[in-house]
Amino acid sequence: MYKKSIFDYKSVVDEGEIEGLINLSSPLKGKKIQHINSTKKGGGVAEILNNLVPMLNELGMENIWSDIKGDQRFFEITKKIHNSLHGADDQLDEDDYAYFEKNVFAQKDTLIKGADVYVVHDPQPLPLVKFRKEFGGKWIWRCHIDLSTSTDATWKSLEKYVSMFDAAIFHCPGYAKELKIRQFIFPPTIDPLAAKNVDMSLDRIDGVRKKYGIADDRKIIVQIGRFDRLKDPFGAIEAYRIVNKMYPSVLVLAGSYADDDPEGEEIYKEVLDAAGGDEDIKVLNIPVTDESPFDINAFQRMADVCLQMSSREGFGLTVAEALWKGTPVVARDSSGIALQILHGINGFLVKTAPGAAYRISQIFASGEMREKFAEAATAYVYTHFLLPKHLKNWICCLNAALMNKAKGIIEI
Amino acid sequence: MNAFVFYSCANIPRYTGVKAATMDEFYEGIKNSGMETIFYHIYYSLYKRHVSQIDYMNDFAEWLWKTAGAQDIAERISVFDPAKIKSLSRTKTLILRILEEHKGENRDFARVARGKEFYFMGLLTFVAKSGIVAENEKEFFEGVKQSSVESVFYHLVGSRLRLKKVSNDFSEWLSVSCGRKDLAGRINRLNLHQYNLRQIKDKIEEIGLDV
Repeated sequence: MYKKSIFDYKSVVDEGEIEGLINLSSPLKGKKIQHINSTKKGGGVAEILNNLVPMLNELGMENIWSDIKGDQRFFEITKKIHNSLHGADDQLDEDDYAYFEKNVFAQKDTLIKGADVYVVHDPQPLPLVKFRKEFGGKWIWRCHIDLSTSTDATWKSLEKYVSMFDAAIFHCPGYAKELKIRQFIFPPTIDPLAAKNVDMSLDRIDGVRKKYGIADDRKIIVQIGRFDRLKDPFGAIEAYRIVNKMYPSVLVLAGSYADDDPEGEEIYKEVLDAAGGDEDIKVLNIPVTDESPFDINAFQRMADVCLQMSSREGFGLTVAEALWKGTPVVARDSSGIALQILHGINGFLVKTAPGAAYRISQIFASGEMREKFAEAATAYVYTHFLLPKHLKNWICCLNAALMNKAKGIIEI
Repeated sequence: MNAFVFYSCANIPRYTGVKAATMDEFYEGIKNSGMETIFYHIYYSLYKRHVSQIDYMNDFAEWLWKTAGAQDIAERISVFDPAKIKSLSRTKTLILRILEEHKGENRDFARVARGKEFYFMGLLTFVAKSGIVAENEKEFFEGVKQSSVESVFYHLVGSRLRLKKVSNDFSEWLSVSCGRKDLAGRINRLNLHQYNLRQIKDKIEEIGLDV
C-alpha cells in the first residue's frame, strides 16, 4: 500500500505550507513523542492519530502510538465517563472510579522510557500521568471532547490528573476549563488525500449507490456517524419523515461500531426498529475495511444534503468531510459542529429535527443556494481544517512544551 | 541592496482563562488584557473569519453584535481601521474609550447564556526563515507566490505591530531597498477588512505582474 508523504499535500495546499512545516519543526528533530489513547480502530481519535503519527515522523521525530487495553467493564465505565463529560446523567460510583484507575495504573508498562513528550488523548488513559515523575518528559493532554456541560462530579474526579500535565489542548475555548496549566486551542482536521476524502469519479459514486440499493430518482440525505445515542440517528429519521412529504427522499444512516463503544450494536438495532421497515431509510453498519472509506466518501458526494443531528460532538469530522466535498450540511447547533458551520454561509445550524427538515427543504428548493454553500464550504475547510494545518498546530504545541513558552513571537 | 528574507510562520491560539458574560466583564477583560490578546482579537481574527463577507472582522465587534445584542457599540468598534493604527496599546485604548463612552447605552444586556461568553485568547507565534530570499522585485513577488497565507499574514499584519508604523515588511522593503514607493503604496493600501488573506495574497501577486 502506498505510504503518503507530506510532500503529496503540495497538490492540495500552498507549497509554502509544506516548506513551513519542515522549517518550523527543525527543533523537534530526533525527539521521541508517545501518543496514548484507548483504541487503534474506529472513531475520530484513531483516525486522527493514523494520519498524525506517520506525518510527524516524516518531519524527523520519533512518534510512537500506544493504546491502553481494557475488559468490557472498563470500557463501560469509560463510556459512562465520556457521556457524563458530555453532560449526560450517567452515574459513576466509587467502585467504578477505583476499577478505572486500577486498570489504567496496571498498564504503566504501556509508557515507553525516555520520551521527550507524552501525549495522552481523551480521558481513558488520564491516570497514567501519575507516573510522570518516574518517566520524566513533558506531558500534554489532548482532549477531543466537549467539556462545556460536563457533570461536576465526573470532572472533579479527573481534574486532579489533568492538573498534573504541562499543557492541555482543546478544540475551542468553550471546551476549556479553569486550569492553571496552559490551554492551547485548535480543532482536529481531515485528510484531503485519505480514501474518505479523495476525488471520486461519478461512475464510482454511482457504483456505490447501486451496491447499497439507493434509489436514483429521489433526493439523498446522508448522516454518517457511529451508532451512538449522542449522534441522534433518531432525530435524522424524524427530519427525513417530514422532508419526505414534500420531497421524496432517501435517508442513508451509515456508520460502524468502535472497539471501545459497547453500546454500538444495541443502538444499531434500535435505529433499525425506528426505521420501521421503510426501504428508503438505509441503516448501514459498515465494518472498517480498505473499501469502506470509499463508500463513506461516495455517500457524502452523492448526498444532496449531509445531515448531522448529533446533540454533542467533540468536533464532528464528518461535517468537515462533507463541507470539503462541497456538500451543504444541515447540523444541530452543538459544540464542535458550530466551529465548522457559518450559518447561512456554508450550511445551516438547527436546534430540532423539524428545524433540520425546514432547512433541508430550503436547500432542495434552491440550486443557487447549494452552489453558494458549496463554494464557501470548501474554502473554509481549506484554510482551517486540512491536515497540514493540524501538523502545524502540533509542531507549535510540541515546540511550546519543550521550550516552555506560552506567548510571544519565537524565532526558530 | 538588502535581501528580503521570507519567514515561515505558525500561530497557535491559547485560552487565557478569562471570559466575559456581561458588559462589565467584557470591559474589564479588555482592560486587563495583554497586547497579545488585543492582537489576537483584532488582527488574527482577519485570518479566522475569511470566507464570510457579512460578519464583522474583529472578534470584539462580532461578539457584541451577534451574541451580546449590543449592536450600536459593535458598529462603533468595527468601523475604525486597525491597519491605520500604529500600536496595539493605542488600539486597546481606543476600544476601551468606545466602551466607556457607550456601554451605559445597553442596560438591557445583562448576561449572555452559558457557553456564549466572550473568551479572551492569546497567541503564540513561531517563525523560521523559509529559505526564500529575494534580491530584486521579481524574486520578491515570486517569493510571495511561494509563501503560505500565514507567512503573508506575518509579514503584512504582524509586522505593522512590530514596526510600530503604518506599513508592513513588504512595503518597507520595496520602498527602502528597491526604491519602489509605487509598489509599496499599492500593497500598503490593500484593505485588510475588505479582502480575506487568500484574496490579499492574490492581489499582491497581481501587483507583481506589473513588475
